[in-house]
Amino acid sequence: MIKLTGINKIYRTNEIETLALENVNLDVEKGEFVSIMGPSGCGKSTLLNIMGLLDAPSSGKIEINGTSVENMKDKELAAFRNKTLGFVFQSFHLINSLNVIDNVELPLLYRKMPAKERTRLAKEVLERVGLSHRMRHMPTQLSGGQCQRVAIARAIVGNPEIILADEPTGNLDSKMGAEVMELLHKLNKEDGRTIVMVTHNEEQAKQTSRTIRFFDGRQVM
Amino acid sequence: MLIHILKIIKNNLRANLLLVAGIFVIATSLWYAVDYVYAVAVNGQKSLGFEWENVYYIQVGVLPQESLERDTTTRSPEMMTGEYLEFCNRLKRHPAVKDLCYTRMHFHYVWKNGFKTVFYDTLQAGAYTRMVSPGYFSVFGVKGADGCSPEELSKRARPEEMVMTDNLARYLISGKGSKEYTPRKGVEMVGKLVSFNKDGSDSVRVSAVCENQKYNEYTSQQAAFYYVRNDGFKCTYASIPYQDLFIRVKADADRPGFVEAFRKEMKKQLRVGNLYLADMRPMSEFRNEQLSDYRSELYTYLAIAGFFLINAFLAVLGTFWFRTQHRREELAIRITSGATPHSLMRLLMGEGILLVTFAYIPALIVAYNLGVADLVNTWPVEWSLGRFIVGGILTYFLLLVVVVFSIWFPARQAMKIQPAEALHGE
Amino acid sequence: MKKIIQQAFFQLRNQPLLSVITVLGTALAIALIMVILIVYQAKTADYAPEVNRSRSLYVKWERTVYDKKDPNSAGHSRPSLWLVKEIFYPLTTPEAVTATYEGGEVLVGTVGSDEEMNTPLMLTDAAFWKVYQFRFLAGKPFTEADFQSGMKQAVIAKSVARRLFGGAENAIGKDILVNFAAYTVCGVVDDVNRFCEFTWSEVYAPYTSNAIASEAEAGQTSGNNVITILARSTDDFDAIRNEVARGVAQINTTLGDMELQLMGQPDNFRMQLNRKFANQYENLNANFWKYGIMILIILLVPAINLSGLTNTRMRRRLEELGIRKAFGATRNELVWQVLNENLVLTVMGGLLGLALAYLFLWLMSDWLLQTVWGATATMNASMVSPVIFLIAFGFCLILNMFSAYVPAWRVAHTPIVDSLNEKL
Repeated sequence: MIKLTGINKIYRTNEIETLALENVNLDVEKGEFVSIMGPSGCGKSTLLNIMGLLDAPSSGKIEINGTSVENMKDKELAAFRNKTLGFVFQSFHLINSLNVIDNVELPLLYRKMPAKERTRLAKEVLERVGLSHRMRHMPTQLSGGQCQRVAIARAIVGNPEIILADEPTGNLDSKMGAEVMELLHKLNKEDGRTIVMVTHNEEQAKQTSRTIRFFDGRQVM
Repeated sequence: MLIHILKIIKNNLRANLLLVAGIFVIATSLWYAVDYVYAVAVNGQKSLGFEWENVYYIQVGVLPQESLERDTTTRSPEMMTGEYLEFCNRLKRHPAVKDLCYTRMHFHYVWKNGFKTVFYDTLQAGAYTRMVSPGYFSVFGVKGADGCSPEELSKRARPEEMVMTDNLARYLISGKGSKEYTPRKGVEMVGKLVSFNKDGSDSVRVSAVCENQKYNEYTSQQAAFYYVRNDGFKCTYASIPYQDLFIRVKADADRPGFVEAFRKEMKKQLRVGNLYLADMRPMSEFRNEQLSDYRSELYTYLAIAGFFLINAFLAVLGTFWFRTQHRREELAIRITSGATPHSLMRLLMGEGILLVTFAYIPALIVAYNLGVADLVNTWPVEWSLGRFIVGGILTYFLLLVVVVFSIWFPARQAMKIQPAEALHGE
Repeated sequence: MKKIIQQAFFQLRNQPLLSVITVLGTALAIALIMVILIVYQAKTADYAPEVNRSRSLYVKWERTVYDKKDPNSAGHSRPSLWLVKEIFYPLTTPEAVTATYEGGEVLVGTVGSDEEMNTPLMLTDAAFWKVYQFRFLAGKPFTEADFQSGMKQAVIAKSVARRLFGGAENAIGKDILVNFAAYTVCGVVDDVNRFCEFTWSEVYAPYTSNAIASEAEAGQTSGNNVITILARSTDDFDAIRNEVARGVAQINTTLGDMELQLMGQPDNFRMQLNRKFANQYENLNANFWKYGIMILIILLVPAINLSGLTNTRMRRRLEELGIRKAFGATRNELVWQVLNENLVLTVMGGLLGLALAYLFLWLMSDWLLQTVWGATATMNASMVSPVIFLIAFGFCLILNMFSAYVPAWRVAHTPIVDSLNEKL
């Protein structure tokens, strides 16, 4: 499903070069729930961003769903992200100026889907995450757990095969965190979506099908 | 503190250079407009030299050939002049009329002039030449250079002689420009002979010296002399349209509706021979008409100045707002290291003022060179160092006000920064 | 569309001060430009009585070289009636040709009454009423026959009729005294806007009724006439110019050592605006350049400054734009979105600016609406036309492009990860 070969990522400022990722090779199979663990600054978020095509590696090859993403133009990358990938972030990244349903519709907006169809699909996923009664609320009126459920709804509304979650429970208390994790497992088991999750939480990692550990930009196992 | 701010400016050099370049352009343009307004204001302080209130222009018409009323018998120039003088006498007899005069090649607030060179000793000077009847000085309230009243000046103005302005007289009597230059009073020209030719022929006696004259409120005080004549200028029907008649009306008679009443009353009386009263207008009307051109120009300069000031505001506001946002972390650290909100405000203000000063120095250099090269407006006041300094200070002051005003908004935002939050965000 | 407006209003609420300043900055620039253009429109649009400006040609000045061997020995003046009769009346291509003679201020009164007033007089021919379309409130223009026989017929303006006779209808058939010469009023027209340089007057009479104005001595080139040539369409302009040139060449064969020059005239309406003075025949396009540069500066300087503010506003939305990108927006879509949202602000500024422009025009008419006839013109319908709104909108688009494109491009090209972390 996701195949990374020889990924390096170097950050350059005026004087210093920082190696964020060093020769990372990774294969994620379809339907897997993979967790990535490691201390702060070990490069795990960078890796997730590269997998999500939000960031480009300094060198190395990325293949997603059998397609090589090298040499893709901005337009193609955008379309690829839109159709194949769904993102869940630690700090939710909801658009504060849009209400819940508009936020969820966002990926569909860039597919030039008719408004009616968009609303129908958005309502469906909001029902699944249990927030259909909050459709017209603004993000600022929701609790953290609710925000993250909205974010998950947004990630799955376009029916992507892969969901990338960057510490999805990091900003939540344990009870809300558990709810979110339950939702992710459901998406993995019931829909068969591939999920890659960055986490700090040993407990959560244990529940996933595979855990990859990182240290100083290197994959340790 | 100053060194500290300079360091900050240096570290933001690229963005600052852009801002400095923008303010430089704005400052130069602004200075040009300010300089103009200043020159006009300074000139406005100098006296006009005459009074236009209660003065009316009378247009004398000659019946056209188509008119059935026209008397077609041939007339000698003496007869036509006689008709003109009779017209004047009838005007003068009206109880509201205080004084009357007629002029040629001279009409305040209407561009109608003659220019002539006069010679005295080895000196020569160009000046407006104005042909007037002796009553001119009392009609327009022109005082003598020695302070004598307009009525007295009218008496001193003897026919076939001339009255000249103080600046012209002073120039001629002092021999300005020659080696033995000693400043002398203008009135010393009285009794001297001035010539219209280099060889000294065609000379005219100066019978009096009058106060300096502006053409209108916006012009500088220009040199002029009045050639006095009294016999109705020997006019003909052809020349009468070129001769202008003015009356001074007693102040208590000059009420609203005066013109209408006067014209109605005098209509029949002023049908003298083939002459008639064609038009009568207060000087204020001509004045308004001519001054409106100057006012328009002044407004245009004010609009330009306003436009550039507002743009300076936008430029500084945009840059600093962006910068304070960009520097949230830096400002937060300052707060945690003991800066008070007010010292932050001072820091930002200091930065802005310094940047404006940097931009203003080259602008001043450009401004000075514009002035020296005579590319500024010198028709009201001459270019001088004093003018440069005052204009420079005024412009700088305006820019400072704008900068302080425009930094105040983002600085207020900076003062509200909660250090914990700002630092967490990174 | 609705979304974009909603978004823009949200931004407006969320960043009120920045948005308000953006709107005001835009309004100022648009107001300045529109004042210039509205006045220009008022001076050049077709409206009564100068309804045919767009298909008219004008000759305002002539130049006579006194001695062909010395081309600089020349005099400049209005063309004489002789030239009108020799060159312009015989033209066959145009629909009509009229000559007007500026009679200056005259004293107008009525027989047997003390009522009198000073008004401008315009002396002309019968074709005048064809080339220019006056609104007649009563009576009709003097006819070709009246003109040919030099009848003392006059058309007067409404204000004159009201003053002397109490109303338009009352004036018809009555006599007025123009400088003590009796004329019969044959028509009363609506007052003319002072921006109508070729038609503004208050009394109109045949020039054949005046001895001085109807003098046409052969060989005399300088006079006091302005000529308007009404073409059937603008396509005929070249043909007319050629025909005029032939006429000038023909007349030059009779002038001996002298040579008549029209300095590039006949002009179309826009060009004649630049020909204010008799001896002005070089660099006539300088005025267009001057205006063009002025408008560019008024547009560019605020645009650069406004883009600073747009930058600031965009920076606050970096996260949002990053999210959009993560979920499939392309760079072009983002640039487009930013431009569109900004356009809402710009159009608000534009509307406010247009309102300000009209306010300025009204408050400062002494300054802004000065005319060649002295005093000021009144506001008229041509100043509030769809054309004006379209032009204003066009300038909004340009200003928007200038002030928002660079910031939009910048945010759209910020790496997504940096956007999400709000780093720029």
